[in-house]
Amino acid sequence: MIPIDDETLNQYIDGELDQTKLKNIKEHLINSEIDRKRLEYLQKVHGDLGQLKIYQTSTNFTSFVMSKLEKKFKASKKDKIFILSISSVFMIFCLAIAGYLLFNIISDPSSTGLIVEKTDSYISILMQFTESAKGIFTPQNISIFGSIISFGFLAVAYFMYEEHKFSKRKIEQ
Amino acid sequence: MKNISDLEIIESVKKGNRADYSILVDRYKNKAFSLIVRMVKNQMDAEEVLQDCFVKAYNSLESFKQQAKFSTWFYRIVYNTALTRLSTKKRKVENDMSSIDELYFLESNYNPETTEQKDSSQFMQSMIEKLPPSYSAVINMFYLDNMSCEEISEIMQTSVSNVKVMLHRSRNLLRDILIKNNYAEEIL
Repeated sequence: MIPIDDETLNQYIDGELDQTKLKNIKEHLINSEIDRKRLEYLQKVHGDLGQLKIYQTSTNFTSFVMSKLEKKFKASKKDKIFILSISSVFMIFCLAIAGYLLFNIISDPSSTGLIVEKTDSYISILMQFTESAKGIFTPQNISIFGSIISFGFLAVAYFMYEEHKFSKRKIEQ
Repeated sequence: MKNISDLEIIESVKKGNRADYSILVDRYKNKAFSLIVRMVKNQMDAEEVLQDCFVKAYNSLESFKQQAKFSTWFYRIVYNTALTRLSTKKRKVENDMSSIDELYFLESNYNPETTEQKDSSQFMQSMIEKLPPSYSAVINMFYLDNMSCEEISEIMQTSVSNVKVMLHRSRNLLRDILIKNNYAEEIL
């Protein structure tokens, strides 16, 4: 008599066997005491597993999670305000420059009707600046500038990281 | 409160009633906690992981597609966060389809003479705690949460047959340990 494999016994417990196979297994179990015992042991395990213990969280768990979420919500609101204020300052600064240029063009009576000329002069100033910048950004100087900018970025990143750590610690408290 | 469905609560939270999220926390905390305890094998760590899970779930509520069940979606977060915790703690996270020999270390580790005699179900509880994380996760979800193998496979992002293999291996192993320690006599 060929013993039933463990896989089939597990399928028997889970009710996954088709009618024909189920009938064969049942007949086999009547005649094989060893397999019957193997099945009984497996059913015992199955039964015991059905009574698994449910672990309980600490009593104030829900309120703790909710207060953590509340703090996080407040922190993200603060972040939004910070980003908004920075971008507002930047926008105001840009608008002020644009307004100043516009004011200069309009308020100068000699320039009335000569806006195109004025624009050309600003472009030529910009071109002059670019030309002089070319002199500054020589291959030798560019590495120095690169280093300074990289250092600046690193410093900014460090302070941002510290700030992030601080706010995270504050939230976790 | 108990009659409100998960989806209704989520809708309410999305509308700005943040306090309603506490209903979901209360609803899932103990079962999810049991799953994490069985995976990370430490109640203190498990509570920390569970807090992270609820915060993550809250932050991702917008991405939750309502075609799926919230429990499946949330349990996926729980399972993955627990695995991440295990890997950051440099504990061994076994391959889901690892050799069966790896499972049998339990059998060789167990010494009935040094262990206090308990009844078979207590003994079973203590042995489940010692199973590798994904095996105990399968056992926990199948028996405690009454999930189908399909749901478990969705949570663990593996195939249904893999889940069944893990379930059957765990049962067989526990049965063999039970027999070796004469607990089987209780049923005869």
